[in-house]
Amino acid sequence: MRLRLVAFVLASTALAASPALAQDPRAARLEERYGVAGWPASAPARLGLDPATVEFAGWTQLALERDARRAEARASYGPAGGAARVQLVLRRYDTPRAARQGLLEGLGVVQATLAPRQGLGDLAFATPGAKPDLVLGTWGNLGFTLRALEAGVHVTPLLPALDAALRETAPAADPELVVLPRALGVEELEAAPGGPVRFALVLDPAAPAPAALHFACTQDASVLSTAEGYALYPAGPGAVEVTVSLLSADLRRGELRVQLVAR
Amino acid sequence: MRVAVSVLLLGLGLLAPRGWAQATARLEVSSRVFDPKLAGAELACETERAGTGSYRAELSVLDGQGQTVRELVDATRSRGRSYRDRWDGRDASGRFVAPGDYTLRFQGAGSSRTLTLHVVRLGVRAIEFEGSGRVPLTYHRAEAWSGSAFPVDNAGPAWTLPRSRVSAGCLDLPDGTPLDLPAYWTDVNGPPRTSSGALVERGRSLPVAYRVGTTPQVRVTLGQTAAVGGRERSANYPIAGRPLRIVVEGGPGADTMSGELRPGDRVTLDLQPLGPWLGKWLLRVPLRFAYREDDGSWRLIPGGQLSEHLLYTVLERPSGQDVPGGRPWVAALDLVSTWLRDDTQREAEALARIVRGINGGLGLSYEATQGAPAYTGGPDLASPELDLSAFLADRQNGRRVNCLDCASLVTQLAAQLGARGQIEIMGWDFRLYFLRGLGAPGFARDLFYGMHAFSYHAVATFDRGVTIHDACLSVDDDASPWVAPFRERLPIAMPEADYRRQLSYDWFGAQLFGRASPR
Repeated sequence: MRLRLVAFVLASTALAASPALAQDPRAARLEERYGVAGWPASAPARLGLDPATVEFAGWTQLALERDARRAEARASYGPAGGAARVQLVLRRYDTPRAARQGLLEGLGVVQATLAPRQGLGDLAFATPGAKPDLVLGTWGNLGFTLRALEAGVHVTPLLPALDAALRETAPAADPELVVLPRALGVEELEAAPGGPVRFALVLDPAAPAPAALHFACTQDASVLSTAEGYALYPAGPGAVEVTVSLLSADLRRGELRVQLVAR
Repeated sequence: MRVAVSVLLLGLGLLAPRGWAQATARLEVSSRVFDPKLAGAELACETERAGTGSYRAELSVLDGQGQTVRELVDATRSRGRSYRDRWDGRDASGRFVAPGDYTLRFQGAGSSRTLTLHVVRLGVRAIEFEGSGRVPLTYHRAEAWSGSAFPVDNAGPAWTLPRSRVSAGCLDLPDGTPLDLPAYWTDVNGPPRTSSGALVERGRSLPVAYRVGTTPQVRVTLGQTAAVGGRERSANYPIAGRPLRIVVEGGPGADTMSGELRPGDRVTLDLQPLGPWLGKWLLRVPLRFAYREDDGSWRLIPGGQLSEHLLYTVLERPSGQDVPGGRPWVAALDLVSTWLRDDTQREAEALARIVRGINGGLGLSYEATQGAPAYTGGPDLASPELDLSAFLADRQNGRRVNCLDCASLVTQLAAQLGARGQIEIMGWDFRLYFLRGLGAPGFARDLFYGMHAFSYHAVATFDRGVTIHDACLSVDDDASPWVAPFRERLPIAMPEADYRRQLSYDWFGAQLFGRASPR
């Protein structure tokens, strides 16, 4: 039975800013190596991209996992019934600028120097040569990495399909006005005294449905999902602040902060 | 996995009514207090009739109303010979008798002896682990979503009996059968869940961790009642004049303790000190009960309760800066434990085994086309985010890794054991001698399509760069690392200056230090 209370909503916000590339001694060298000053302008921001819709001819999407906290998804592909051969990582950033920063971070952890790759997204870098096994790039505010999971596998045949999927994404005319998945609050559900705090999310029906969630709690509390909603297990008495990240199928991320009190 | 505390065999001395030695009939029992539902519980009864020839022996258990509930012996026996019989605490129809006071009666050839037996219901229904050496643990991924950590302590007591349908404090099923003891939970990712996703709050044994060499304590909660025929019954203690106590087999005796048990009590007990060895263990906690005899001595009650727990032993509790909350991940400790042999005690040994484990124990290979990481990233090269969840999930991002992955794994997995290390970033842009990447068939000088140079290199250090650990590649540790033959050395606590000398003929001076944060 659902009870009346909509728990105290601390905030329901859009997105946290992406981290800027830290100013370590290597930053300038890295920017020079990859010619950041000469990078072409970014494509306009996109609404999002659902990784489930990214298909590669002759390959089967074997697994797909969305990470609501990072607005990121990892999809693995391979022969049907076989082992994964390549992995696609998609991440939706707030802005194209943040996506470029993310790209530079990705390039910065590669030990060799990747080469610019034309005809993919608005900017891409790949293993030098005709048969790359790693490609990183951006398309507006979307960042992508396509990498072979096995030696000897190259991703060249997959690039046209990836590029087409990126280009088919709808532009976000005004990134500030993009409708994000949204929860209006939480409803506390009946719970046994001393037991976990049971609650349900009250979703905004006008917003995209979340395809993935993430709960971050203060006080070392943790959340489990159950058939009847969610159960908050606190480490002790007192109020727990819960930050709920909601991620749509196309990686738009919204956030809700609420306070729940164990009884 | 090894057994940390084993159960000792139960010793059964016998007790007799006062003055038996002068009598012609003798009746002795192993205990005047008896809980037949404890594991291994049997009441030994010894009888003897003096003289020669044979006699008709009857040994019976009578209830408080004098009704026979079980006839143990009705047979012709020889005088002058001692007989040992056993009572399993069941009545004539095979059911456990209800807690209460019973009379054991021995009759033979006109002589009769009786003893009062207190049948009780003892047992622990929950165990919490305590003590200064305890290290709280975390399940890193209790849900489908990444980052769904669940501190094990949030589940409540580490060990609990299932909940009886009779009552929360009852030790039995409604039909009187004792509740099953839980098996230890082996899923290293999350706690046990019901089919609807709810946490299994009763009837499970969750893992625990302690620092090596410390003495674990258990805080046990006693059950309160028994069940008989679907109804709740008193546990039949405390017993006037016969106080009860709980002890750990092999630990301090009941005579060293104080107080008297009552149903529902919570009692803290010391276990045996842990050894100095790191790793994963099966901890068995053998609980016994004792009562005070008429002469003031303490006598163990037959049977006991044996709980089993997965135990991880670590060097120290990790810093909260290294491992979120300072709580090691069960899955990470479990992985590391596969590399620790029985004799691993010191940090240096553990680090060596971790480096070798990553280098050769997981089927990983060096990503030799561009040195791209599979599990690490983030804005700060020296302090990357390590997707340890994906790594623990059967190497979800593949088995081709780079140096930053390896350095992050070495430092992070060591941190789970309580060893505090750092990632050291070496740079920038230097050419290389012959190397053997992990998983490579031999030494080569053809990384990155022949470029064979690093823009940077990451290693692990536990002494701020004096020595380094590199699970990613072996160097040719001879005087001429630019040419065959090769003397392979996997850098484990290798002096950094030596390592640099064997790695590259370029000067590369950068040193950045940081730590990987797991997600």
